[in-house]
Amino acid sequence: MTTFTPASIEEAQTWLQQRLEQPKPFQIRGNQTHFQAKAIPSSVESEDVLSLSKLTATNFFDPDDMVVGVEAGMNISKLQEILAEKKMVLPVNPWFGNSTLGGLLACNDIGPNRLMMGGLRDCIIGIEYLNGRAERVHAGGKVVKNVTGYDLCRMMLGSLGGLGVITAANLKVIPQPVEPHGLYSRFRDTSWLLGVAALQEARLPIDWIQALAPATTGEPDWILGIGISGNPERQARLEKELQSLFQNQLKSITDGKTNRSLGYLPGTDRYTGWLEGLRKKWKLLPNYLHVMVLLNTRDALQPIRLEALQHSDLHQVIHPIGADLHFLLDVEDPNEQLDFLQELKNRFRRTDAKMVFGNAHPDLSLQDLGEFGRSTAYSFTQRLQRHLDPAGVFHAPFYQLPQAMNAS
Amino acid sequence: MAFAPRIREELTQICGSKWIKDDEVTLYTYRSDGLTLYTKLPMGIVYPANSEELVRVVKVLHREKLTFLARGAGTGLSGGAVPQEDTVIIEMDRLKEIHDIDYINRIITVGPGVVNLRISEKVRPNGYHFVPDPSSQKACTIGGNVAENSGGPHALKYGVTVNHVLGMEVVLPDGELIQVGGDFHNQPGPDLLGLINGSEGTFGIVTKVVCRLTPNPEKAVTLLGIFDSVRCACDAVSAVIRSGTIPAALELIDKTVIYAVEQTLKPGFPQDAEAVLIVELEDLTDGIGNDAAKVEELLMQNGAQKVERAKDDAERARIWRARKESFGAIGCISPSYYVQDGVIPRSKLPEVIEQIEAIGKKYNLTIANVFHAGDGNLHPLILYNYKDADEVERTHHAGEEILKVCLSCGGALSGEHGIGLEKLKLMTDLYSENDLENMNWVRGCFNPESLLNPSKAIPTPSRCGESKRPVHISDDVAASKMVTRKSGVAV
Repeated sequence: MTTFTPASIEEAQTWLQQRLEQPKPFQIRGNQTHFQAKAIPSSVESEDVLSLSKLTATNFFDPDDMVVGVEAGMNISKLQEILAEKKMVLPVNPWFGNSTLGGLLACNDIGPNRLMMGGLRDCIIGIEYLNGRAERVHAGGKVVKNVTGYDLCRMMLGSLGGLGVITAANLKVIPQPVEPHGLYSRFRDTSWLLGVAALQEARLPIDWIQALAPATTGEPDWILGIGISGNPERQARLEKELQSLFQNQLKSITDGKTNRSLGYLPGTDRYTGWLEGLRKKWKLLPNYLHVMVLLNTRDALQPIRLEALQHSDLHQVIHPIGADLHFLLDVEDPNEQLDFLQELKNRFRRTDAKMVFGNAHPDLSLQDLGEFGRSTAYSFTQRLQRHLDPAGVFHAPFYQLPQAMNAS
Repeated sequence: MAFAPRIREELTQICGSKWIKDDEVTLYTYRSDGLTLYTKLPMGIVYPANSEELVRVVKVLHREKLTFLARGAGTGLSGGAVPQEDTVIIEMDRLKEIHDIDYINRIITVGPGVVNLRISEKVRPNGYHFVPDPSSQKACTIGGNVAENSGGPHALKYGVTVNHVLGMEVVLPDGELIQVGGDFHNQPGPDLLGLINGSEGTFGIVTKVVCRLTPNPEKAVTLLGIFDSVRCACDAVSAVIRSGTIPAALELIDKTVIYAVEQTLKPGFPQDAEAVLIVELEDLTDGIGNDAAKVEELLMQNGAQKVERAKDDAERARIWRARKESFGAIGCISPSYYVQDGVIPRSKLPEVIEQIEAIGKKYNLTIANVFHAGDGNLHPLILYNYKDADEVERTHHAGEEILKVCLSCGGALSGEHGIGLEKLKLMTDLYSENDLENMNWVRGCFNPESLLNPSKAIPTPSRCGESKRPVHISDDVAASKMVTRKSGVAV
């Protein structure tokens, strides 16, 4: 395996042209914060890598127009730093601050802020990528509203390296939330789901909502957190309504530092939920299992008996509205991971849920997700990939799953 | 132009004879969409009742290698639903069932023929609405909204159609039915839902749409900033956006449009003003007053003569009616108008508006402005007399020049109306040949034979050996005389 790390988009283009002449498959990589799925079937002998880690330029940042354009290798924490200097933020707070923008787009990552602020599909306004003919193509632009030509920006979102090499993107950003603030409460069981259902019915404009399973925090209770922001009158009203919905059990998270036992709760980044603090606290093994279950809010609020999934090494982070449920099993044994995966599949068999790997042991593959790993219109997606990569150089296992599979 | 008897027979078996039409009067009705500068008579019209019939119709048309397109209410403003030679129009009006409403998941599933406003009317009693609110929302359909990725004034805070659609059922040009997306936000794999949205009916025909429902705001505060200079009003837009407060809507109306709406709708706008800014804030009742006061102060600091606050819902509705029906109101001051849809970085608004004024002077045409200022999405209305050939010619030149100004400052050709037929030839000013070839390549996966709505959205590539067809601007006087003779209706 060889890794090519171009210093410019032109270099990447030349390299891709050479690969097309042979043709020889390769993987596209950012900072490797995500599970690197294997080939299925494993027909790829040489998995060379194109790393975009040197493509980190800022092409433009216009705070007045609330738009930014950067190269794909820039990592998300760096991008957020640049934006924060002008009190702006990309309202997407994925799990991995070290993810590159290209990786984030290719995986279509989301975080808890998606509830009120949208995901990447609500932010992307322009893209540049190298297509399956090694042509450097652009779509979209720098303006926040645009229907000029086909929306290839969104086509590349979630494309998992199969439709082209994302080299740069333009994004719509927003002002940082005003005085972001958090509230939390402890629950003995999943009765908090009832409160969340009531909250959904009440239609309150909260910023984010997350629940942590007991083993996740090392404490005996579930912890439910809710993010709010805005001027003092707005926050007072929201807090009053939320206290009423949760029987006055909610406590204020002031700055995330004063209460040391809750050190993982959001500090200065509290408008982004709890992910960053939790990840630092957990210190997970390198090959841990992280499965994201995507499903509708109605199914997420059903009594899916999440307690029954408890495992001493299992962390659960639940975003119940939307919804996405994160299961992180801190064991490296692939058989244990597969057993747990099967348990999850059984649990969600009667829903339309989809599953995505955030991380896994290298012996696991996307095929292990079964039907849960395939999107609707999956066979059309495969057709699109073959159409746009006729030489078959983009090594992207997502598109190689068998047509007919059992959910088991 | 009419169906061949064999095809007519087959389509009749699918839909029933009442729902297959190719008489001259009906064909005339379907010769254009909302942009009447481009017209062409179709071969015939088919009115399927449901997706099953639609699939069968599409399979027949595909087998016969006939070109076809789906049409909703025909309110599009870029010629996207104008037929080509021998094109069959599939009218979606009968697919207007509201299938399911799920308030926990905040979704509603509807047929493509459902009128946009109908969705919000249906769910409003339960405290929800469907955000995209194009000015034509009383008539335009959700299928058309998806095809064009429609916006509206409230796109500023909440986004356009693509941000409010979670799933779709789509018939591909060969009759294959696919499901895209679903009832929750993220699916593994590429965002096909986003790709199909805004593809101007060239990738597939949407037969079902899962729309997101958004809670109604507890409180909306509507401000009317009155300015004696358009430039000051534009500066105020930038100041509001820079302040960090994102209004739900931020719309600018200039003096010409103020005059037109005061002649017809009488919203009470001051006729001596050069421009008014409508700023709407939406949120909880608690705290919104402070945000509104902050915006009022910003408007005054940036040259507003006065800022009025709508006192009640009736006053708010009056302001919005004037904004949403302003295109129609122009009819009282001009026999025709040509609306542009260029979009620019909003910080460039002051200079671009001045350049548009200069273009009007250069071509001796009145150009009125009413637009989504917060998004930088311009709608210059070029007023002209359709009976004056020279004026029509000047109108085309002025329109083209306006769009080139938008491009020169980093903008795009269309913010919400689409490219259709109208802006095809300007696409090469924005995108390279590679970029356009690449878009054609993607289209080839959905619509390999270009049978579905051909020659729309992107120019036909020269690499494929086809030359770019000149835009057809018809002189359909003879056709209109025929319709008058046969129908008794003067057209």
